[in-house]
Amino acid sequence: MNIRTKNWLATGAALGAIGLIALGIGWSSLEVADASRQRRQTTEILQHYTELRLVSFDYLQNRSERARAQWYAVSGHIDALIAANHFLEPEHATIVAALRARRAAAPRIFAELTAARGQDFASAASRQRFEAQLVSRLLIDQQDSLADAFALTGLANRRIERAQARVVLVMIAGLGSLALILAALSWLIHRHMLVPIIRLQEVARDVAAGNLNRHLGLPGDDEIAALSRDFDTMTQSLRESFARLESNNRDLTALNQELEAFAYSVSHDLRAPLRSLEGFSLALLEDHADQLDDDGRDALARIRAAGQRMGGLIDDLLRLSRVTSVELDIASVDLSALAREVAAEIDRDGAAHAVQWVVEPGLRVMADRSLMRIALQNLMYNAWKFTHGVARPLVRVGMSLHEGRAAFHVADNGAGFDMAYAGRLFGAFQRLHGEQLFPGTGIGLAIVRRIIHRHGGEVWAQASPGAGATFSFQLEGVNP
Amino acid sequence: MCSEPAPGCAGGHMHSRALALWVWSLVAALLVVLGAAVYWLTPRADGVDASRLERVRIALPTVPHAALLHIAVEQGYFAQQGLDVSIVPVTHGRAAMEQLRQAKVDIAAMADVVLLLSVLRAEPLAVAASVLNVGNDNAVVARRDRGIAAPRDLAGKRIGVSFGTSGEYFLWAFLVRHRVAPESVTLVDLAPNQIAQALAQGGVDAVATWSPLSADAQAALGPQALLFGEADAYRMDFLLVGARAYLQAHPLVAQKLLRALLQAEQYLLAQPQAALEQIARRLNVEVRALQPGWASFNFRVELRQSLLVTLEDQARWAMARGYVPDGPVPNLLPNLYLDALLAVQPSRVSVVH
Repeated sequence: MNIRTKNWLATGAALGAIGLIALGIGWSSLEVADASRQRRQTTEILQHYTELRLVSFDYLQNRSERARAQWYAVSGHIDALIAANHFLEPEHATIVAALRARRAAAPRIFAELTAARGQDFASAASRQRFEAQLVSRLLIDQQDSLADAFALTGLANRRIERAQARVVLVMIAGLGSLALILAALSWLIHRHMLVPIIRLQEVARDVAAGNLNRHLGLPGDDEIAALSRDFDTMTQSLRESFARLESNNRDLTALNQELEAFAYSVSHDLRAPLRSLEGFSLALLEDHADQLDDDGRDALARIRAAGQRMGGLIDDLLRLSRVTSVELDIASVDLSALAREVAAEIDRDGAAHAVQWVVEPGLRVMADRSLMRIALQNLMYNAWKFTHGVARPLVRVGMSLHEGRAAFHVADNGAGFDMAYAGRLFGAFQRLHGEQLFPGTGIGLAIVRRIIHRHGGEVWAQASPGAGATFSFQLEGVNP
Repeated sequence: MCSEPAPGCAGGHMHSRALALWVWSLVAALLVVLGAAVYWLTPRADGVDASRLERVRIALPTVPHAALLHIAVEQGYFAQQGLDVSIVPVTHGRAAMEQLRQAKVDIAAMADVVLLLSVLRAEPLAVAASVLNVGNDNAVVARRDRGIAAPRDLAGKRIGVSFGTSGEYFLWAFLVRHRVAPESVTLVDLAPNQIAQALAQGGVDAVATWSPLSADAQAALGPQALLFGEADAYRMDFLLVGARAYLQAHPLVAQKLLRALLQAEQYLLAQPQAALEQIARRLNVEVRALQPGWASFNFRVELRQSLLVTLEDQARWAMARGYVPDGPVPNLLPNLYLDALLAVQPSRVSVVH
């Protein structure tokens, strides 16, 4: 049975118990109301019988017309009250029947008594016995009727008491039933919901901590059991995905190591013939320059320049490789100080081309300081380089918000570039300008992107030809 | 508080166990309270220890007026109340009184007149309760061939009655009610079982007796019979009587007797037809022989103030009849034993005390 059905059943049982309580109370209240009506009626009957006895004695004492009229008036009240049939229980009905029988006889007896005064009797004794019998009959009937009215009042009171006791019983039974239902519900929730959820929480925490081998395996056919099965399927999928990822990682690591070894070995292996080329071309230039004509010397100079350029390319390759393999040492880095340091260094090395550096103070970031220095060096050197020929070269280092997060930028008012080629910008050895105009190997931005990616961030550029360029980057977890 | 189960947090399971224990304790407590409430609010009969049944001898007339006693015997209510009742069957109330007078029984059932005559003879008796009140039970059955067409025609006639019974008192009240001087008729004492025959054979001109004997007399005489009833003349009480000393010495026996009779009363109200059939079987008569008078019987265990008035009227009659010397009507209140009914169901006692 699923939880929804159990919930409906428990709710239904609770509502049923409440309904039964309400019915019990309603029924008892109706009975109390009915018994109260009976009691009011019997109280009125009692009152009128008391009045009847009063006027009966009055009449017997004084034989006055006024008392006779009152006797009939109060008799009429009693007859009307007794005629109303509010007494249906056998005991009540028996008493009411006796009352009615006496009421039927009373006017006849009273009429005979009032008439006897003017009638002839065989003897005074006969009259006296006749009248005494009627008087006695009236008194006995009135006494019995009073007793019956009291008995009816008592029965009505007992009904009220019974109904009230029933209300108490219904309340106790109802509350007991509700308590049982609540306890059962509590037990059901505890056993079928709370315990599985606690176990789910426990296993989920373990899975979150990396233990993907936990298995929930809750039995049953309810929603939580289904959730358990889904959870186990999910952890199974995660285990398989992680296994694949680990395998891929291992492959990638091996490949990276292979690539790094290859790059290192290529760099070193290329350096040896390059050094020979450099050494021998220098020796040729120094020792045999007089044997060469101008064209020969020019060719030799070009060979040497090409060799030096190749050396630079190899250095750049090694730098890119190092950037990839070096271990990160994350700490708080004062990016503003670092930028000022790099600007001073560029000014020192390239005094021929002076630019105005504007560094926003207070820039801080959690990063590897040495790698961030390399990244800034590349970005700021590029900016310095591409502002050649600009009347008032300006490079700004600062921070702005990008999609709600802090983004650092290096912006210049230099040559800029066409955004159509922006996709090639961060590739290794990619250049958007001729080397004659802006010398370089084209490895700098590739290094920058590698560094930023290693910090879990992103780098991008915004530019237009002749209007300068802005290179921005965001690092993971850095917010203003 | 440790709200989550964790390796370092053993309190999670302990907490839920403690909660479960608390919930079940609460449920158990509620069930106990519920049980106690049901036990407290459920009406139940008093426990009976069979080994301590009290013996009571009852003279029980084989008349329908004693129906509550017969039902109590039939239904075992006396035994339920802890009484070992031995019944001494008698034909009518006067015979029951004779048994009581001779101390052959402890309790006897009889009409009010029978008690009154004994009390007037200074016998120390007391009424424990009335078990029936009826206004239209006795009747006069007359022979038409003796010139009787109306109650007034009874003057000068010979009328058979059982002396010292409700039948005799009824005849007196009947004659007074119809303005016939009681002294103008000649009374003939007849045993109850002689009445029908005496009327049929013409030994008397009329008889006065109770049901179902009045119906028997009418049937025995056939078309010549003329039956006069009179509801306004006399309402008879059928009483449970014992020696005053016995009742006072055995208050619990009296209470148990009354409880059994109240049970019988409830049975009669709930199962009137079954009760009637049981009575007919016990009296060895046909159900239809009982039916004419049965509807007017008001079977109710009680002690009414009006009983005193009736007994005093009867005392005046008894003096006029010469059963006892003429004199002031004695105080009959001491002859009502109120304590037992007051203890069992006080609302049934309307005697001013």
